[in-house]
Amino acid sequence: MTNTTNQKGSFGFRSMTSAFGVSIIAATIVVASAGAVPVAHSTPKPVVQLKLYSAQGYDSYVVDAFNASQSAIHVTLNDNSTGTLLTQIAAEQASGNPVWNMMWADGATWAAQFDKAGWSHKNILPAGVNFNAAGLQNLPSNKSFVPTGLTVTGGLCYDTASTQGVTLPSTFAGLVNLPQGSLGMNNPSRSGPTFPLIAGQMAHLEGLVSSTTRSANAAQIAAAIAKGKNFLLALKAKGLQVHNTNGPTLGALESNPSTLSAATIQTSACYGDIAAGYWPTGAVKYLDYSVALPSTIAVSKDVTPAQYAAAKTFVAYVLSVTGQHAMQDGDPQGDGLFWPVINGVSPEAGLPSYSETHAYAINPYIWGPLQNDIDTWFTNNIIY
Amino acid sequence: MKDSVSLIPVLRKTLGRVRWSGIVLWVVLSLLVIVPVTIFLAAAISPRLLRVGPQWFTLHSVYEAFTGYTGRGIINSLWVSTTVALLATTSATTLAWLVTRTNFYGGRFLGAMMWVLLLIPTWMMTVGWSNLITPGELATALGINTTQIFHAFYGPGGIILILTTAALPFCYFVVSAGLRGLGSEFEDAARVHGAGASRMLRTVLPIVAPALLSAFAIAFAESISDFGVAFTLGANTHFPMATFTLYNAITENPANFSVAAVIAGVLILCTVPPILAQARVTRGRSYAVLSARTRSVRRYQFQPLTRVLVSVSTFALLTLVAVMPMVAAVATSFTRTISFETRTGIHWSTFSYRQIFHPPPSITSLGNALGISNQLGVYVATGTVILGYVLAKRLAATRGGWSQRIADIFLLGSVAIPGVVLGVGYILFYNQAIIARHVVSLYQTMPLLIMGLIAAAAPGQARLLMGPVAQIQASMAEAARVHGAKRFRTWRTASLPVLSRTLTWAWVLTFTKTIAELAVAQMLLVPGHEPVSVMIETTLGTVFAPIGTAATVLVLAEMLGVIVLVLGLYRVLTPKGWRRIGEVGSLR
Repeated sequence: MTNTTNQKGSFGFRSMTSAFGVSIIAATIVVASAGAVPVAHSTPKPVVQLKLYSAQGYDSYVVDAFNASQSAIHVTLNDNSTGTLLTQIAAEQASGNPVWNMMWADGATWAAQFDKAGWSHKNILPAGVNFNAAGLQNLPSNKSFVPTGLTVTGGLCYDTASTQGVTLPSTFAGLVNLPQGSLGMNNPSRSGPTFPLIAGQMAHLEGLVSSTTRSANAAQIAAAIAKGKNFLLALKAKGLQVHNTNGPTLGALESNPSTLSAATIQTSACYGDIAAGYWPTGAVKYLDYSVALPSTIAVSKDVTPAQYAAAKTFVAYVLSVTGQHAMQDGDPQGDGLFWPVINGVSPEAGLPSYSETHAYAINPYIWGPLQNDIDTWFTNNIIY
Repeated sequence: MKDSVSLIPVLRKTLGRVRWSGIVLWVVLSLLVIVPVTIFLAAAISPRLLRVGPQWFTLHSVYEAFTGYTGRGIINSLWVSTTVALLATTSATTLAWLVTRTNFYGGRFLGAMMWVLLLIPTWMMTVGWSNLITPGELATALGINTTQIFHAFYGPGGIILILTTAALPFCYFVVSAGLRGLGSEFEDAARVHGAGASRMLRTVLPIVAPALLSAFAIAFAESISDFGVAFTLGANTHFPMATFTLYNAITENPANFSVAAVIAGVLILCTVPPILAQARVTRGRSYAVLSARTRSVRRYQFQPLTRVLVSVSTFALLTLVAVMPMVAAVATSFTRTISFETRTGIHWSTFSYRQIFHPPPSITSLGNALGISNQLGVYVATGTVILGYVLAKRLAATRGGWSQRIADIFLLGSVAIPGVVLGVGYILFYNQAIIARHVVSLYQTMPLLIMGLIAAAAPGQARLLMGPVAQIQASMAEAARVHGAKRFRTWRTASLPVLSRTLTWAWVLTFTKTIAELAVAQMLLVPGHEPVSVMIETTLGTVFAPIGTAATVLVLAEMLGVIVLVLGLYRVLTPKGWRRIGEVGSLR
């Protein structure tokens, strides 16, 4: 009787396993064949295909405009957060088969890292780009990436109502004099613009010259890091609040009662909320310096010659008057609030002149490789 | 020649003994989970294998992962997950007992609440709590000073609360399925032999041990691998969790896959003790209590006042922890501001909802994204239920060999694999040049995304199905076979009616979870075809966060609609008898 039971039980299980196991395989194969790219049967296409990985708010608008203007190039957009895109690219590189063709995001430190890792193509700047001074300042000598717009991080965004009676500082050093617990900033591990801010604070405290290309010796860098850490610890002692990204930081500033009075974040986010009407009592003050944050494009070194040429065509479009206007129109209350990097294009209304920001530039090739160490220190000592 | 001829029957006999079905199953599991995850984990000790470091072998990442805040994250995740599993299993057992074994008011409504809870991802729950208790949010507008609660919430207390709330429905459905299938004859037998309430409980509860242990194990694994709460709450507190430190390592520039692999390996290994405990208790015993002769139960009758008090207090507690955060999220979505109450008052508006349907150029249309997510949901839910059922059958077999034990450990370990690890593992494996260029290029195609989502969902579903499947007595299939039924007919007439409700639930649950899934979708999405979860996450991080909140509310409404539709279809299309089987306690 026992044997009979076991046989039947086994029989039932096996029959189901067999039927459904085969079904799963069959379904997988069918679905795979429906959507996968069968390598052996692929045919060359007359249109050059480019994959753009981008974390910019205006990217889909710009890509649509570009594709509409081209018949021989088609750009496909992978729109995601910067962190996710960098992870995808790192995994692709590790698999030995990178499929990304162009990457577009805020900051230059990631692009410098790509260049140092040998992932990106050099000399991607097309001929005829009419850079302005700020654009030229953020262009690396080997043209392994190009700036496409400028924002600044580290301006003081504050709520005029909750800071009534408070004397706002005019320098970064003066931030330690704000009332206990009233200052906020973002987490550099989660917020792209925040590491450049910290790097800029460190470099400025050491007195390094504002430059994207000038080098510094090891002693200067070590001293800059030490001074920057002390400054951040002093802010922590005064109750510095760290939120993940601009969104939660702005929420803490805008609520009633607010849990923050002021924050050093990317000012375009503050302008966006003010322009959208979310924050009628919001304002921005520039201190003795802010840190320049270019949006940049890099091109994979694994592109074909045709894709390389097509990528330069795309870069040329972005760095044209039409392209810069498309960036502004594509996200007028968000990432479109940037200072153009070419002559002949004005920033959106509501932005002050770039010179008012006292923008301070850092060398991404120096600070990019230090990001993981500094972020880890920040996590261990400022957040936890 | 003669030898070769005589070999053929031997070969046939040997091949006939091979369990091809088992081999096929392991091939499927290898392609879905084992190989991609193993490749990722290899980075822990061999960075060069994945071109992420110069060493072929090093233990440096192991040391790094166990020091500093990453080490604290591992310790924190362990004790938090254990606490959550205990709390969730205990609470769920109490609720299931109230609904299935007493004259508790509103049992059906409680079941519906569990469904709503089940489909809300933890990140959404955290957003809801923030919308409720952050100063300036809904509670403040109602005149409640939440400053103290707010600070207490951003720590282990808040994390445990949300994870327990998230694990509660998993445990509830598993345990209540077990209790529903349990006729009252066991309780009666215990009482007849003089057992008191305590002794009777000690007699009955072990009979539903598979369900209780399944509930504990799955709550532990789901909690330890949960990313949503660690990402939203853990990141803003002085309380690191392993999943968050893992994510930090992966998204560093350059990515630190080696440390991430160590943390992922630890998370997976942490699920082994609960499985071993479960195996030790259940191995070799039969818990099959659901048969054709299962009788209806006699419910414990509370006194009228007690009945009202118990029912009201239960619903009040559930409303506080589950409904209020969602109410806060919905309320916030009807304002034009990021914070609910601003210094210029509350700005009620349907602006965000109008923007969803006429979005600004920087936002993807909700309609397109939702369409893609619904397609994914159908494929993934169907594939997951099929695979999950097959795996549950294997796990539930009372006499399993080494293959079953490995499957057991592997499956729960898989529940603990964070989605981001699965996503990166898929890129590392399926985008290998030799595969992508010479076999098939699956990366950034719908099939790979579907496979990844099935891989993320199937282990958990198999665990959920295991309890009900384990309770089906073999005698029913035997009876069908004795009466001449073939294999498929046996399954269709004996097993399917008993499991139809559970399978339908599993399908709907996977469907809704797929729509809300973020980690795998972010990594494996097809460019230009972003699922709705990615669209919402992208929007929430921008100036258009209110639109993202409104989109979240609409997606939740859509999920609820699908649940109502599918369960309604189940009610209309299935024979009445199917709906009564396995629910003997509800016959009154």
